[in-house]
Amino acid sequence: MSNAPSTEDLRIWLIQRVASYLEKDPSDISPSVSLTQYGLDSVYAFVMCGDIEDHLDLRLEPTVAWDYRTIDALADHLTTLVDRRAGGAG
Amino acid sequence: MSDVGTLERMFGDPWDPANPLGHAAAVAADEREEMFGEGERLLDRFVLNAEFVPVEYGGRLTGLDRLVRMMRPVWRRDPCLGLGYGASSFIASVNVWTAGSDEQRRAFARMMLANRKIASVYHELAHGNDFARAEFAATPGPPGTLLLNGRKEVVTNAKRADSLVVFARTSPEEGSRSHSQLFVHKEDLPPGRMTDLPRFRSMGMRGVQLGGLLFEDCPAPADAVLGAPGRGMETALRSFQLTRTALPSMMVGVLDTGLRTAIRFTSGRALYGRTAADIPQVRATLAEAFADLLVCDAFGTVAARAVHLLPGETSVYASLVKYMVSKLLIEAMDRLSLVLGAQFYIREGEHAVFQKLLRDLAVIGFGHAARVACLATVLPQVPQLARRSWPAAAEPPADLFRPDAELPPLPFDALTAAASGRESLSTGPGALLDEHGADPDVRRLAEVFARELAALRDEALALRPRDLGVAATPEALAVPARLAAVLAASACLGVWRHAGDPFLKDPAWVVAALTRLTARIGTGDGRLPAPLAERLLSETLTRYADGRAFDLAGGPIPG
Repeated sequence: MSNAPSTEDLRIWLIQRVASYLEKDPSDISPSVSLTQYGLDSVYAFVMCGDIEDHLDLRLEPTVAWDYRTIDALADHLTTLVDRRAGGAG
Repeated sequence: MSDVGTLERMFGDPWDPANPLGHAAAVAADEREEMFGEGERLLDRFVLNAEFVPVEYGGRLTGLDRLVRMMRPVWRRDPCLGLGYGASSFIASVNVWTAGSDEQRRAFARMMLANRKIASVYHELAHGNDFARAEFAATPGPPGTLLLNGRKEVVTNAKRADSLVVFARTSPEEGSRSHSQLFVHKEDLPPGRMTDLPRFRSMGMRGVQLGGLLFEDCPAPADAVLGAPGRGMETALRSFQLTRTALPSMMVGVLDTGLRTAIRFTSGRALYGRTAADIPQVRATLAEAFADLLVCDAFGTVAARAVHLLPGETSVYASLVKYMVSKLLIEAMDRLSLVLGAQFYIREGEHAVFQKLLRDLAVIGFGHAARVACLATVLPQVPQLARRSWPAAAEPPADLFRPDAELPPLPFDALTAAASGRESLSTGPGALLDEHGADPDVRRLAEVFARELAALRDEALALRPRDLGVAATPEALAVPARLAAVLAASACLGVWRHAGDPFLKDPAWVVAALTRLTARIGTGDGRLPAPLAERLLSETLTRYADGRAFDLAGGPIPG
């Protein structure tokens, strides 16, 4: 990917995804609240993992959202993965 | 020798009323609500437990499909033995092989090979899907210990097991990293902290000892945890793919005996001046039960081989095998019960085994809720499968469909909680259509299932995230249910295409199998045309007369 998304880009994108799962307005979603608090259980973790993989063209453990349980934590982790890939490719 | 034929011969002719290992003795034990003692002693002599222990730990477990075949002689005779002697330790074992340390695996293997029992202590029978809600807790106690608190109920062999694999909450946090399995030996627990709850009685599987356990500040060694603490949900999701695949497939043995009982009954019974076996409706029912049995075996065998060959995909197959095979088996037994008529609920005499098998099959945790839970497990994966694998995935390896081909060892490390959109079995119908010269009837049916996969793709892509969770509608759950039929059809096509056996490479059975499956996708009534039913029935009656099993392998059986 030529323009690797920043942590902030990823955060905004994840907020939009989570809002769409919950059929809520993105302004109602806090990136520091655990996803399970929003009722996003293990089922949604698999759905979200697939969406992230498609968005970033990455392969992830299907349980990635079990380990990184807020949007903030996920955005940080995904940035690391994207940066590592960019570094590896360069 | 420890092959299927040896075990069959050791059990002997189940119809011989004088055989202490026969149906009459198994039914009598069931009437007393006891385990079948002679059967248990035989399985001790055979060291059946070795079938659950991988070869590198001194056992005989080389392949999941072999394990299924080894267990069928047991399930054919007594599902209480199948579960209460066999499968419950197998259910416990897969957690240990998947997440345990080398030392824990060795300890487990030693106990198994010494004919001990190990109970799988989840909240419900191990295949319930809501164990994430388990309240049973393991919290840090005095240094080096965990304190266990809570109740576990409806646990097979809770009382007589020497060791337990206990599923416990190890963190108060919400989410899926808050549970762990503990491998606990009763002899390590101080007296008075773990007590047995009264036995649960059940309408089927009446010999199985369903117990409960109450733990009150019961210390257990902290190193009893299997794998890293908090990984229990993932360990369960990964390892139970083996049990979800294998258990329903073992139960094909139950339908074998059910079908055998119905044939025995109809051929000996005169009605309206002919035997019941001459009545067209009866003939069709027998033939259709045989076709359903072959569907169950083909799907179960292919899914068992997929655990070895395509472990990243089996989270999809395992749940759908459990859904489809258990449903087909129960429904086939229900229809056969109509053939037996008033005889089927009589609890004495040589047909009494039928009502026992029917009750056993009904209680084994395959009620409506359990099957819905299997669909609900696959549903969230469906949109990704549609995007990534339908209909363009590469074909699976041919060895998937060749029960005689060697398999690599069970890759416990490669099992994944979800398939990440990868699934290749459904390519079966499409691949057949690409072949030249395929049998026209097979081709016509392959087209039906290829069209169904295309329809499923469109429906899957239209599902919204909220359709995938606990609020899933029956329409959404129908997508994985119909996928199960497509996968079962693919498995049958694959077995047929790669078969060497004269019966299995003949199109008749696969045409019958796929015709039966059209009823599961709403494109047909599943009834076999009379000439096809007669062709299948002729094979069924030949095998019956020759003393051969009704499954794909069709091996010799006594009686």
